[in-house]
Formats: sequence, C-alpha cells, structure tokens
Amino acid sequence: MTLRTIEPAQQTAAKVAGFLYLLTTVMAVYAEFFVRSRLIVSDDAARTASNIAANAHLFRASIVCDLLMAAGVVILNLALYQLLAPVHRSLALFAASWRMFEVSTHAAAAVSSFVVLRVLSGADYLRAFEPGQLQALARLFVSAHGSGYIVALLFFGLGSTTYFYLLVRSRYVPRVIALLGFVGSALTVLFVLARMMFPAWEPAAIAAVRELPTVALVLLAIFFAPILAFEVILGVWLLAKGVRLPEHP
Amino acid sequence: MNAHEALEHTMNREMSPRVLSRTGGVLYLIIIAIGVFGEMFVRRRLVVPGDAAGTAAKIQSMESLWRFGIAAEYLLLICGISLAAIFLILLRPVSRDLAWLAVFFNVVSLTVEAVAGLNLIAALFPLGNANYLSAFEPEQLHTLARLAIRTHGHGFSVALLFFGCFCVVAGYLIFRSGYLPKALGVLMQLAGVSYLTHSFALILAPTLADRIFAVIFIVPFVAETSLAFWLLVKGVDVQRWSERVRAAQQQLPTRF
Repeated sequence: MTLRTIEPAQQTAAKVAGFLYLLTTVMAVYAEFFVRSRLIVSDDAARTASNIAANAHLFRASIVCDLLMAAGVVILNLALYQLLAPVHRSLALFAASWRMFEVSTHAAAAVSSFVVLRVLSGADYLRAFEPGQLQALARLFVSAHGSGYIVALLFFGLGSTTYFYLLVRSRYVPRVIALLGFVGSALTVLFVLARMMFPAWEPAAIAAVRELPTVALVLLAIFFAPILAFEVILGVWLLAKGVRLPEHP
Repeated sequence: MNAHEALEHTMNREMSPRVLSRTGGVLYLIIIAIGVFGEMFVRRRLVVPGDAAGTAAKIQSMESLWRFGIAAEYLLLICGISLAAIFLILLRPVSRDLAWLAVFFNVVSLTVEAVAGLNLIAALFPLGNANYLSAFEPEQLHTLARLAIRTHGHGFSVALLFFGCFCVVAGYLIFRSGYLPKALGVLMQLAGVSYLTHSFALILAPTLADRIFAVIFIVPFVAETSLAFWLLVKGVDVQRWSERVRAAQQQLPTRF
C-alpha cells in the first residue's frame, strides 16, 4: 500500500475527527460517569427511583448528552471515512456502516431513559401500580437502556477496530497511537462479548481488582489508562498535528 | 476507468435527474400522506389523552385499524430509505461530503423510527387475552399499554431530532444547488429547526412541548409538501444540473 499524497480534504477531515473525538468523549463521560453512575444504585430500585426523581433535570441532561453525542458521531464517522477511504475503500465502508449501527442503537436506547422519567412522573394513569412496582418498572427501563448501550458498544468496537487498523496501515499518525486505538477497540469488543455471555464476570473482576495491593493497581492503571484513553489521545494528536505521510516508506 | 468514474458514468447515462426527482416527489408525498394518516386518523382517534382505560378499550375494539397504522408506518420507512438514496444522488453534485452527511442523519432517524414502531406492536400485547397476563390487574395492563404508546412517542421525537439535522443539511444543499429553488432550501432549514426545537423541548421542558406540538409541525408540513410537489411537478433544472455534475467531475481526479 503506497499512498503518495494527502488531499487537503483529508487534512480537514482529520481536524474535524480530532475535534469530535474530544467532544463526544466529554459528553459520553459526563452522561455515564457524572450522571448515571451517581444516580443509579445497582441493586436498590427505590433509591435509584428517588435519586432520578429528585434530579430529573440532571437525568434529562444526560439524555441530551447521549443524543448530541450520537449526532456528533454521525459527523465523526463521515470525517473518519473521508480520511481513511483512500487507504482501503471497502474496509472504510465496513467501519462506517458499523459505526452507523452504533449511532442508531445508541439513539434507540436513549428512548428507554425517557420511559424511566415517564414511569416516575406520577401521572394519573400510573396509579394502577403500587409505588414499589413503579420503582421496579423504572429500574427495568434503566437496565433496558444499559443493554442497548452495551449493544451499541459492540458495534462501536467493531467499527473503531477497523478504522484504527486502517490508521495503522496508513501511517498517517505515529504507529503507537494507532496501535493503542486498535488494541483498545479490540478489547472493547472482547469486553462486551464477555459481559453478554457471562454477566457474573464483570462484578467478579471488579471485586478482584479491588483486592489488589496499591502498587499493582498503579501499575495496572499505568498500563491500561492509555488503552482506555485512545480516543482522547488520537483526538488531541489529530487536532494538534493533523495527518502526515511516513518519512521512510 | 476506476470505480468512481464508472459510477459517474452510470449516473449520467442511466439515472436521469428528471426521473429521479419525479420518483422522489412521489415517494415524499406517500411518506407525508402516511405520516398524517397515522397521526390524525389512527393515533389521534384511538388514543384518549389522560385515559388509559378508554384508550385500551378503543384499541381493543379497533385493533385492525391500529395494526393497519403500524403496517403503514413500516411502508413509510421503506419509502424513506429509498428517498434517502435519491436525495444522495440529487444533492451529491453540490457537495459530496455534505450529501453523505445528510444521508447518514436520515438513515439514523429512519432506524430509530423503525425501533420506536415496535412499541406500537408492544402496546397490543397487554391488551390481548393470553393466560400469563392474568398476573396483572386490568388497570395495570391498560397502564402498560399506555406506557408503550408513550414510548413510541418519545422514540419518534428522538428520530425527528436526527431528521431535523438532515433537513438543515439538505436545505443548505438545496439552497446552494442552483438547480432547485433557494426558497425550498430555506423552508427545509426552517423545518429542520422546528423539528430540533420540538425534540429538545420534549426532553428539557415536556409541558412546553405538548403546548407547541400543533404549531411547530406547520412549518415542516408546508416545507416538505412544497418540496415533494416541486420534485414531482418541476423536478430539477436539468441544464444547471448538468453544469454542476460536469463541474463536480472536473474536481474528481483529486478526490476519491
């Protein structure tokens, strides 16, 4: 594979992709870690319900973030396709289709969050159920959102792995960065499949990690943090440096 | 001849913009007709606001109308996907990148709508007479059906959010095209802004959204009906279309 030139359009696409990588990551982190993980208490439906009802605006903000992120990924996806189609057109199309699946699944999953708010809205027609039943219903829809999110993550992983493979091949960015993303996305796919097949695996793994001595935790963090942050690292690189051709092909 | 030139070649030879825009116009009118039918003659007729039991009774007594509405909804989506492909070809000469962006947004909105449509089917389940449903009280079953209908409403507005993005981008391309009237482009962008306003209002201020619901859909209705009729009756200005295609082809060697 020899790529002799980089088109101006590719350079623009790289900047757009870099910006959107950062923007979508910020929105995803806000919605997941600053809102949902604070409001949702995994085995306490009553507390989850009262948390969400008391912070309905925050919960709504997380839905807005989810949807804006989905809209951002549509543009990101197009930019990545423009950037990497010259490397291998069919593979880039594959990656783009997978990420489209991701966006659609993600947006459809956001609907479950609306239902959570509906169930907890106290509307007249909901009086047919006991408060405890409504809390359980709300908890079920919270889970439905979670399942949709995981399905979206699977398609994200497939699309992202393919894009990063093309990025490795193209040598548009330093290979370390492209390989980080490739490994990170591939691990996402494995993680999602493992979680779907063996639901007990994740809590067990989290419990096991908590048992580790601090030194081991720090080492683990140093090793895994770049793999988890590949979107941010690539985003910053694309914004600051753009893409370039390899000096020694 | 590379794959791309082959595509352009085929486009020039076989896909007359006139035929394409006529087909697009017909599809768009079918979509609008089904959309209005589903909202005004099925859901408005069968869903009684604030009365889960009344709604359940109506749906049970006119189940076939409800099912017909669902079937029409999926026919709408089939037309929608075909129309998206037509818009891609019609708007590509203005800007390849933005035409793809518009189609991406459109496809996401259609997919979300397809998923949301499942809730209209799900609303029928608790209203059936399967044995396992006896675990619930009748009022509870009515509430479950009501919730499914509500879920469809929310799914639909999430779909409209992405469709709004499509309208804004497509409107811009129409405005810039030279072979479709600028006014239609502006109208489509206004339609997009209306959809976006509605969807975000529904998330952030649901009571406001209920109040502006009727007003906010007038702009998209006017815009989309005008575009549909224009495509059907007038179509694209073929001479200007060919100029644009030629200009786009001259840039092609540097693009992919």
